Amino acid sequence: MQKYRVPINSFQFGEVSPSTLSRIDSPIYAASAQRLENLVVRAEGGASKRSGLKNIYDFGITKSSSKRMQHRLFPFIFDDNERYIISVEDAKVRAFRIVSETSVTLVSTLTADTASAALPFDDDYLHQYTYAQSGDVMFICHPLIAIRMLTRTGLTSFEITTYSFDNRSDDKQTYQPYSTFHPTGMTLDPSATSGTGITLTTSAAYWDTSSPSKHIGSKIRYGYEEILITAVTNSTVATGNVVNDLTQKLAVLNPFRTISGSTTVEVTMLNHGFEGSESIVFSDASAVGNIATSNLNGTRSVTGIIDDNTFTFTAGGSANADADGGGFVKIATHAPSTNWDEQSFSAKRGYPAAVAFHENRLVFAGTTSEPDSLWFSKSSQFFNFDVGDGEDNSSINLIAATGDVNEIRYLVSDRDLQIFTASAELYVPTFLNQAITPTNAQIRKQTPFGCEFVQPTPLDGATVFVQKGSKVVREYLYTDSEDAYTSTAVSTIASHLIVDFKDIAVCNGAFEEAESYSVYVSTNGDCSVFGSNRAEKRAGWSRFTTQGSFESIVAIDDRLFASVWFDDTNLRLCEFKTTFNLDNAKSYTLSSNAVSVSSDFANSTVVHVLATTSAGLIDYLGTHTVTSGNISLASYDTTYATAEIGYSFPVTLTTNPIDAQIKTGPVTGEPRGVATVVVDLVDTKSASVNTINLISDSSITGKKEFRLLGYSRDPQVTVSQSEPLSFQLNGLTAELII
Amino acid sequence: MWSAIASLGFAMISAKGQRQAGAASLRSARAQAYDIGTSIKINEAKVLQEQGRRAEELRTAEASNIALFSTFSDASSSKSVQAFLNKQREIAGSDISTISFMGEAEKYRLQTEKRVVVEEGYARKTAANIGALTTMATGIYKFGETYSTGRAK
Repeated sequence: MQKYRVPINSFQFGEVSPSTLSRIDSPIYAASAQRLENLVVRAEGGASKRSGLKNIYDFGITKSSSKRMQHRLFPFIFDDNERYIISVEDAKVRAFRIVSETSVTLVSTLTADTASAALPFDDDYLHQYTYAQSGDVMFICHPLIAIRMLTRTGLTSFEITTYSFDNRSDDKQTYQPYSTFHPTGMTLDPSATSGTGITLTTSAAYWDTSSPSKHIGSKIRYGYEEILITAVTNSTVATGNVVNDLTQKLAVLNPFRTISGSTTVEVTMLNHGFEGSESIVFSDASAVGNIATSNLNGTRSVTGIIDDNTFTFTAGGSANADADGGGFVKIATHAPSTNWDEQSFSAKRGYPAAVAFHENRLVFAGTTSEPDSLWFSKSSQFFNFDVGDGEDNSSINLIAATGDVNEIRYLVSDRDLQIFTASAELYVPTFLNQAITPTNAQIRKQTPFGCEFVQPTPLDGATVFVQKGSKVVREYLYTDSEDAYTSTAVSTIASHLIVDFKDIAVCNGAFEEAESYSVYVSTNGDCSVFGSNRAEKRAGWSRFTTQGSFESIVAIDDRLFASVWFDDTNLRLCEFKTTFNLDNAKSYTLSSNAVSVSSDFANSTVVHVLATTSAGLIDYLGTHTVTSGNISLASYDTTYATAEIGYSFPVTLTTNPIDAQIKTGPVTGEPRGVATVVVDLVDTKSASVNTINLISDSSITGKKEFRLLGYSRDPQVTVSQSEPLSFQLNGLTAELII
Repeated sequence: MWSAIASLGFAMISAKGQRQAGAASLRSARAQAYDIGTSIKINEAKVLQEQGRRAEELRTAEASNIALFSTFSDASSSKSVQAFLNKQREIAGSDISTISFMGEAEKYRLQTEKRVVVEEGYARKTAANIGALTTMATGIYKFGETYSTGRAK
């Protein structure tokens, strides 16, 4: 019989997949565990119990098993003193103000927007919603709903409005993006150049014929003039009101060119869209080539098309010279033209799926009809998407040209504008000391994985995202050596913890740790926690469970909040608080060793009680059942001042099978036993090793030895808790008997 | 007597010289006007050439821009790219128009200069003729005066 002492000095690689059990050759094996439940991997390598969940608010929502998410939590941070948690629910929004370290209060509940219309938020799609916040305004986006703005109007008041674009001062132009949805060659034939109720006839089927038509309320542009659609007759005929007369001043000064001895006049009109023989009306033209104004202005016919920007007509008289002229010419026509387009965001074409602020522009991306397009507002004008003449500060319309359609799901503004789509990761590069402009904006495809409906979030210098299919978490990181972004998998060794994620929060300095953690909420109700420190090449996973299921999670600076379905019936807003050892917990003031908990727990609910005397001594009093809305501790001789009442949660650390290398090779698979285990604890009040409890009246810091029995081919050490009290394990040493 | 005859003869020679100088000025002015007419033609050609160069410059720049923008994104569908290209076309169109306008202005200037030069030629010829006539009249007057004075003596 031989004895070997096997140290496990840290758990810095966290919980690893059972598939890694044979990788005793890997350095990860000696610094990881088979299970890290409700434990946080500390920067130093040890593991400490996660904070309890302080019960803040009961949402009063009835759980539906058919819904992926019934609400989502968004952060809303105005400044250090004015921070909020936003709960977006089915047709409802609630805002909670973080008043202080101990107080979070509901300040606003909204069920209608400022126009008294019901909120369009739908819990069938909440997990797909994206948001971006700047100052007092949060933009909320989804392809099925018009962009909404949640605006903070006061310290404790919010309102919701539908995002609308700026208009020209005379309201005859809306500074919104337009796109060409019709195929090449399809013409639009308005029946008049002005007025209401004009008919709009397309040369092929175009208009939406559902009832009511989704085109109603949309605007199209004929040339550059807007027409509001008021009705759709059939797939080729619609009715509309001309917003601005279909008269345009030709962009080119002196657009006429005469030919000596001829009545033919060439006209330069950018993208005229004519096919020939259309009727047009000129006005304000001055004489050119000795053709009098009366022979130029008035109704003329297009006689020939020279190119996309030039056509000819016949003047009323001949020129006696080759000359350019005409001055500033206006042209009015309602002739069939291919030069027309439609507003990009509408019920028919869909609304943006993603939103972000980048370089002081508001950026939308990915509508139903244009899933791979991005629209940047004018610089510092978040409601103006006028492309103008393509000046540097003009709105930018960018469409990915990667050979396939990439459905944009998320935008992340970091050193570059990162774009996460359903099928690839792209980015819009930012240039050194140079702004993104219409003439230098570009999209570059980087990696081909695709992103699940979980908001990619910056963590430790990279952006972590869940690969489509929800089997892998990757970090999107720019590497100078490759001069490109890479998407390295960070969940390979803990693939069993990647289970259909639906929400994420990244918290810098959570759990009173210096580290940054990303916490993922899974549809199975658990959370998977990833901690990363690139500088020290350390990254590891653990899992959070509770007596219920996590629904959503949000980080507000270094504070982490979660909504949890306790007992599958009560959805509660909770905060991870280091001062709590229980979940769904509150601290109650006792009166004669009794307290009413009816507002938080139903009768017959079994709860755990941690009672504190007026001297500050804490006793774990086990479980109690709520009776008549009360918890009674009358059976105890000690008089308690306060009690933390809630649900306990398991704390479990199970090591990898203890293995060793002997002269004849590894002992893997050989029957062997763990005789003793020395654990290194910090401020621990409750711990047990393989069910053997630590017995102590006070918290323990230091090393404790446990003697174990039994042989196994995979001997493991499980450190857990019998009582919901403080716990931290730095490492352990196991004595292996072979 | 003989001096009077000689003086008259000199006056005739001088008048003839003045007339010939006037005719030469007119010929010179006509030659200069012809040169200006040539300049007008050259100017017209230059205008056409300049317009063609600007149009070609636009086409080349636009092709380069489209090629470049197409490496950035789907430029053919981008409204902001189209807006930029339209603006360049607009600028080029206005440039071409301006070139034409400047050419026309230069043409009018040259035509005016040509007309002035010819008119000046005629004016100089007329002035020379008048000068010759004056010279002759002066010569005849002096001859008459000298002759009558001589006879009186």
